Amino acid sequence: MSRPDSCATCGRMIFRHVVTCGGPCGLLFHLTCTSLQPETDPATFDELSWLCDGCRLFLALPPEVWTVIFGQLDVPDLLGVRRTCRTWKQLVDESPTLRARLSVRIEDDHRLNYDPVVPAASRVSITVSEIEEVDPWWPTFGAKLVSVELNECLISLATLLEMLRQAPLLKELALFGVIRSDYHVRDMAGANFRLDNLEKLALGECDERKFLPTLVKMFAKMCPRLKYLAVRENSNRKALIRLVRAVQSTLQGIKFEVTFKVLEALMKLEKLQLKHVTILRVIKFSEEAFSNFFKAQPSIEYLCIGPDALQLLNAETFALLKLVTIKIELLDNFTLNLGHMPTLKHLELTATGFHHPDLIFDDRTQTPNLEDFRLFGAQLVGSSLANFLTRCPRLQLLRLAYLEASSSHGFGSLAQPFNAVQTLKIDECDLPRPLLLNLLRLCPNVRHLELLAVPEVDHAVVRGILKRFPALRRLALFTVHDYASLARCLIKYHGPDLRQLDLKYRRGFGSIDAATRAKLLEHFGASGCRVRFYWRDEEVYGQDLMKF
Amino acid sequence: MSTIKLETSDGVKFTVKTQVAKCSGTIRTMLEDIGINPQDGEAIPLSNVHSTILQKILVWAEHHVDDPEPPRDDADAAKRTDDICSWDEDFLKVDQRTLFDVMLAANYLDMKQLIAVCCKTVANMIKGKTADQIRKTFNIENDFPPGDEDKIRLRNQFCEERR
Repeated sequence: MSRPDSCATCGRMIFRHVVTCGGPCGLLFHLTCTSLQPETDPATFDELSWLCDGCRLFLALPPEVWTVIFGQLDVPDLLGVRRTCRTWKQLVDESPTLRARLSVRIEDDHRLNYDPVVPAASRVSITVSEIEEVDPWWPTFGAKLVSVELNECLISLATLLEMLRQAPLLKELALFGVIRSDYHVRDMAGANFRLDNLEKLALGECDERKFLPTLVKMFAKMCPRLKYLAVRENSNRKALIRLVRAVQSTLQGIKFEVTFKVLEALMKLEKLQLKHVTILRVIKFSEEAFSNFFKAQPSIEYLCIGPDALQLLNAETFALLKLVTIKIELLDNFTLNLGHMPTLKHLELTATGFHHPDLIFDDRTQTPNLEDFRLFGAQLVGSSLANFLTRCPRLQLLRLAYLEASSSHGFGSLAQPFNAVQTLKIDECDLPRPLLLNLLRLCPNVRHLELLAVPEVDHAVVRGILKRFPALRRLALFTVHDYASLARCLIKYHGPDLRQLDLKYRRGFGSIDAATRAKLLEHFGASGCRVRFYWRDEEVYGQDLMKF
Repeated sequence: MSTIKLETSDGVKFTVKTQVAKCSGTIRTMLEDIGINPQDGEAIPLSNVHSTILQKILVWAEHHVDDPEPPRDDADAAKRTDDICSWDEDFLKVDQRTLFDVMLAANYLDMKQLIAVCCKTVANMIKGKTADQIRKTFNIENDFPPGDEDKIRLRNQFCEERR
């Protein structure tokens, strides 16, 4: 005989008249512990599909509300929700906004065995794969896809077209290093459909010289609503110009290699109004032609340029545009002079080479409305960065990564603190201790602080931070120092407003033992602060062709 | 200051400042569009809300009555769940049943800000938990056929965070 179950309300055993909750909990109850009439016929229990209080509320919340709740989760949590029960799995799979967050990455080994029904992602990236024909799972999977990326794939034009035909909702398409295995002019006949929803198209590194121009030419006919276009190695400029001409009335962003001919052709397009421009490389150009191009395209708000284009631009050229965002890649020692830019809100400077170039901020750079500033991989000289930051009274976010400082007095002599800064992130910076402490001192209103792989950050510094910033809400740390003493210090000195603590670690660096974890979780759990432990991956900076 | 009367599902009548009651989109619509005239002294029936929950919701509305209109949602703002103000946090430190009851009522009364803050609270209850822990938190039965959950877990490995 099996053991009798216990009632979820009173906890006592149930021997007869068991009522099962018809909701997701599936718990058992005494008839007398439910809201049902005591004289209800036990034979009808199942038909009644009675719900316990918890389930009644749970099921009464409309699916839209759950979708909003799940929309606030990160992908790992969202995947956890999908595994919870069938109702929630269905909810995630059928919500376009939630599915849009799930992306699938497939490499050749897995492609043939891939079962597309789970997970129902809306984005796919297929890497290093030889695709001879359309996979049997593609039609059902492709029907819901919003984004497709093929990376280093060997595929024939006919197969590619067939895959695209079966992905009618496609909004983003990226083809990198895609090689045709065979190619006949007659395959172009397959391009007899349109990708009406396609907004972003990125093409690059397609080895065979004629394949890329063929693709570009083909897409000029197929995507009438293109908004963003990225083409690397435009060996055939005519094809690129033809594509831009075809979509000029909808195109907002372009990422390309600049030659005089291409810009000249773009300047003649009357309907073209660009907002986002990324210049990957300058092949042949002059200062004058740049300013002519900017005059023809005054709507540009976002500009991303490398060191070659930077040489051809000066403060007067920048002044032609009302730029909101500038991203600059540096190679050599550089003095930043953007002139007066009252519209600028976002500025990012990245040094991509192996050495850290000297970076000096010219006093003529005036960006009074700058809201966020990110600086990666440079050598700070003197106090020019500090002086620049004092001229940005609205700066809310400051992010510094891979920096070296030559002097320890960079932030010492300033009278003016950066009062608006609420988020400060310092990552992989070898800064002398006095400079680090001065910088922290100058940002008295920080609510969100990240100090990752900054060698000087030990428990003494953390103690100082917690005392100095009692209103801190989020703190993220990654340190080579002992996490046990760090944990003791965190528990002892943290302020009442701390809501999130992220501790990161990497193999070979200070790892967090189980006892320390348990201690942190117990302490902070009680004070309403979330503690997360992260495996820290190396981050990759630099350009992603698909990103605009 | 003008007041109106509200009547809950269990027949309790509340006298509320009109301005506070208008935090609810549903009541606002009733007053403005349908033309219910509160001066008549007739109570607006809220047949889906119990008095204990309405009382709680009115405390919230009273506190937030002067809040400025929220900025239009952008994707980043929607994803943040650590920006619940400490008053709301204390307000929502209730048992799960009450929390869900408040959400249901807020949904019925169309109070977007209150729903948003409740959603964030529930999202925080899910974050960082395994599927098993989520089930335990919300009293959900694992209704997948045996083996299916493992399959989903394996397939999840294809998934990655969108950059």
